[in-house]
Amino acid sequence: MRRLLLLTVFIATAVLVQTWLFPRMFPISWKPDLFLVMVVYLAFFASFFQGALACFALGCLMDVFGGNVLGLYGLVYAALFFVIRILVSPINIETTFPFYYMVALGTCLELILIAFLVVFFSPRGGGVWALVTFGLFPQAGLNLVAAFVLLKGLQALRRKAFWAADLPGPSLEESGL
Amino acid sequence: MLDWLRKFRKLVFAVILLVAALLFYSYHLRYRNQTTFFEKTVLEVTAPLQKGADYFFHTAGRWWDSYLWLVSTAEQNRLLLEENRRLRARLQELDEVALANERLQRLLEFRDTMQLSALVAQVFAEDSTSWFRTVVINKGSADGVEEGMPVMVAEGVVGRILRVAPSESRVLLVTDPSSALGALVQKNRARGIIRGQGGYLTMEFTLRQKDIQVGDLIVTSGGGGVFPSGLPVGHVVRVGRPSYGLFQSVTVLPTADFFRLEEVMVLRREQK
Repeated sequence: MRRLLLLTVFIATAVLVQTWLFPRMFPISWKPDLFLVMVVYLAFFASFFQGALACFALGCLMDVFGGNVLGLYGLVYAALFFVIRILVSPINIETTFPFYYMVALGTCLELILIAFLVVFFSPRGGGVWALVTFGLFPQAGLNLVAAFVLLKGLQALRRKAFWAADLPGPSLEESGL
Repeated sequence: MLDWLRKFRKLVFAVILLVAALLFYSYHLRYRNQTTFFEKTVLEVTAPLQKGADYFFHTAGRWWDSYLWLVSTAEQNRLLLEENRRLRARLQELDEVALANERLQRLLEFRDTMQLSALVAQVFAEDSTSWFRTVVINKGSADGVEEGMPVMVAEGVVGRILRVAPSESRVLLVTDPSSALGALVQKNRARGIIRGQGGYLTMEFTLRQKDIQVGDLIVTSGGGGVFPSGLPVGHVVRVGRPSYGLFQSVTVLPTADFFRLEEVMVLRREQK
């Protein structure tokens, strides 16, 4: 219960940062996608059922804050959760390298899924390909930086704050990249 | 059966969630121009926090500008006074032009055109994703804002209302990839469709024999029923004519500065 509460607070903080801080810190074009990093985090460290539902809910929130058709990101994040869950199931998640790898891979998959859904379901969504083509590398870079900062912050929090020790995450002995 | 379900419960759950999510998305896609209860609730609940954050950042920015950059204030003051004098003179000229224009419009009985009433709104939040281009304004259905209403600034078209909550609305910018509007080249009335490409616009389906030059002004055509005709959209920055094909490719830079959107005008459907 305590772990679930901590996880909820952790995700809510990420939502606040993504929706209120990032739009003011970064120009209108590129900003880190903490929601995606959270999806990867949930796929790594949350339970299967809670994680999947949380990812769907995160996606729906993203749709509201992004002005998209409700359900677009819900579907994308739920699908990403399952794909990443399958990919990480046979590997050791105590180290941080697979996490960064999955953030980069998740960015690519997210873009492909969004572009596919927007183009396939919306007759006017063709322009999204231009953003996807030019935006993949800067977005992946920003997401990796966000994931690095988030994991470092998480590890420091777990090490120094007794109340955060139950937060799931990679091994505290891990030094990072 | 129960054993099978227990054994494959994760797989069954994943399939059910994905199918449900797909149905959820396709259902809302059909009613994409309507604001759902969930969206209204989230917008309403988060709006005070967003306004608070906006106030905090503005205050912090003002404090920074006022106290920490005093070094250049004297020089800035001199330049601003100079600019102020120049702008005042220009404003007087423009007032004269506006009065003359008004008289001419009355004479030519053009008063019926562009008579939509405008509602001034303030932008207080931007999109939280990198792939879509929307902003949130502080006017909603309580102020008479409806989905589909055009939004503009003095320089040109900004976008259209996408979602409406009682006291705030989300605006889809013309630079969003899913945005499209009918437009024409002001000088020769060559028609086309303006599409958003993230940071710039493209004009599509413009016949290749039409003479379009860099710098030409693109205005709304009035087709489509959202934007009135004659509103400035952007300036042509690149024209490409392939060796074959019916159309030319035109790149347009919006006249509105989307990096500095603060106050916008929502054009209401009723007459003034």
